[in-house]
Amino acid sequence: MAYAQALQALGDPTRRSVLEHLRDGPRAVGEIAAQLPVSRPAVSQHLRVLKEAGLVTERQDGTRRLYRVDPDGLAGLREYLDGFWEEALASFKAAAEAEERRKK
Amino acid sequence: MTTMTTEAIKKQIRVDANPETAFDVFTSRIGDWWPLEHYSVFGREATVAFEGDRIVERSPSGEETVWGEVLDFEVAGRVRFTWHPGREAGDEPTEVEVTFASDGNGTLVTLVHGGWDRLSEERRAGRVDYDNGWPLVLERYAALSK
Repeated sequence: MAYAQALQALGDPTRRSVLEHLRDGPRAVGEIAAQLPVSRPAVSQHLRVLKEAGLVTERQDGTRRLYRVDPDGLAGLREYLDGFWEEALASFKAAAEAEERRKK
Repeated sequence: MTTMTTEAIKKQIRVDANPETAFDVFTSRIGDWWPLEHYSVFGREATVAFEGDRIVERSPSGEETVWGEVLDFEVAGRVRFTWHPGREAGDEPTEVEVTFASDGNGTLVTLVHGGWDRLSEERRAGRVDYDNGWPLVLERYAALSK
C-alpha cells in the first residue's frame, strides 16, 4: 500500500512544492529552502516524509546531501491509477447492466 | 523509462447492455455509479454530473469543483474529456477517452487515460534535466483521493 502513504504525503501543499522543485533534477535542502517561504528545517522534515513514502531518495555528493524523485515510487502510483479506473469501470458496468435489465 | 511511465493507461470492460444504454449510464448517470466514497474532492456526500460541457462535483453545502471539460460527445459512440480533478482548469490537464463498441449482445467499453506524454513534452521544452510527468499526476490524485 505504498501509494496510500505517497498520496497522504502529497496531501500537504508545501510538500507538493518541495517535490515540484525536485522535478528538474537532484537538489540539496538549502537550494529548495531558498526558493520556498519555508525554513530549512521544515524542508528537511518534508523531505523525510517524502522519503518514507518512497517518493524521494537521497544520496551523499561530497559534502552535500542531494534529494531526487524516486521513479519506483512513481511507478507504484501508476499502479494505483490503474486500479482507480478499474474500480470505477466495475462500478459503471454494474450500473449499466442494472439499467439494461430494468428496460427489458 | 520515460516512455514506459508516461504511456497511456488503457482499460477495457465488456458490459451486458447495448451501446446506447452504456453510453447513457456512463454520462447522464455518472453520479449513480462513480465511487465518490473513494474518489472525490468533497467526500461520499458529494455528487458528480456531466453539466453541459463540464464534469462537475458538488458538495452538500454547494461548493463545486470541475474535474474536466468535454471535448467530444458522440451519443452511443464516444466521449472524450480533459481530466484535472482537484486542480484548476487549464492547469496541464490529462485526457480521458471512452469508446463504446457494439459487441454481440453487449458493449465493449474502452477507456484510455493519456496526455502524460504531452505534459512531459512541454516540460522538456523548457527543462532538459527531468522529464517525468508523474509528480504532477500524483498531486492531482492526492487531491482526489480520500
